[in-house]
Amino acid sequence: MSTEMTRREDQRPERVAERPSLAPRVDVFENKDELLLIADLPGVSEANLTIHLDNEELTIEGRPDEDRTESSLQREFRMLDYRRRFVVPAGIDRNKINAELTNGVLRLHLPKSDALKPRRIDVKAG
Amino acid sequence: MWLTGWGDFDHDFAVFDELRRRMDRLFQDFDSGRWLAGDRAGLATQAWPRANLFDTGSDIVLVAEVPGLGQKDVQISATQDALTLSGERKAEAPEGYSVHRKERAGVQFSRSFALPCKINVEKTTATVRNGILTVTMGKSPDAQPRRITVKAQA
Repeated sequence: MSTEMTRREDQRPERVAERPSLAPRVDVFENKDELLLIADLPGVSEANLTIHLDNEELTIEGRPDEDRTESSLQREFRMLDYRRRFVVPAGIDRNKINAELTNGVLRLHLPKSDALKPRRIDVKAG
Repeated sequence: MWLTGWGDFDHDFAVFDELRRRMDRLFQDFDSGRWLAGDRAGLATQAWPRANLFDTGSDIVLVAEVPGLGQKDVQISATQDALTLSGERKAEAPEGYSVHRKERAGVQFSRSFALPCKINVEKTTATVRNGILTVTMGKSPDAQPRRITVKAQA
């Protein structure tokens, strides 16, 4: 018997290699034209960043440079993969999504489709 | 009104992500021994930037997470036995935007590290790449590891 639960499970294939990952810190801003998502991804270069949009689900994955192998005198962080998923609201123009990565900070622009932008309605004199 | 819908942005995953981030931090703090120092308030009191320190034999290498900072945004000063990083990271909302989620913090920082041995300030170099700062400090000659030859005794 296929319940809602099992069906949902089927849609989430397991990963072959499960590496520990970290959810990056994210800011989300909005203006009349777009949603702007800013994420801290220190150590990730453009080549190692994947942004994937599948239906409603936006996935950001980044693999930072390899950790150093020398003996550490003090350690406060590890170079772990970054992974975080978001549900993209309706009304985003998917074809216009664009991103920049500068100094380990991702800026992802999610432009609103024209139908959702606030519009000024002129009132005609009667 | 359609505006209310935006508030639900990534609602599904938000709780899990937050939980996981806290767990991650718990483990990292545990690894670094900071939990012993009574750093329970978390973010606010956490030293910024987070840094690792390595000994390569000839150099002491500091690696710090400075996302958003470029070459000109970090001031580094070194003495024989201490290194100080200072600067400011801005993370406020861009003008004209409203805030839905704010996890990245702006910070004005100045952090000093006591070095485990004397370094040669002249032989200290720093690079910033993809938000990772690497400071390589050459050890002073008397702190370099030395090979000691064992003489055979007649």
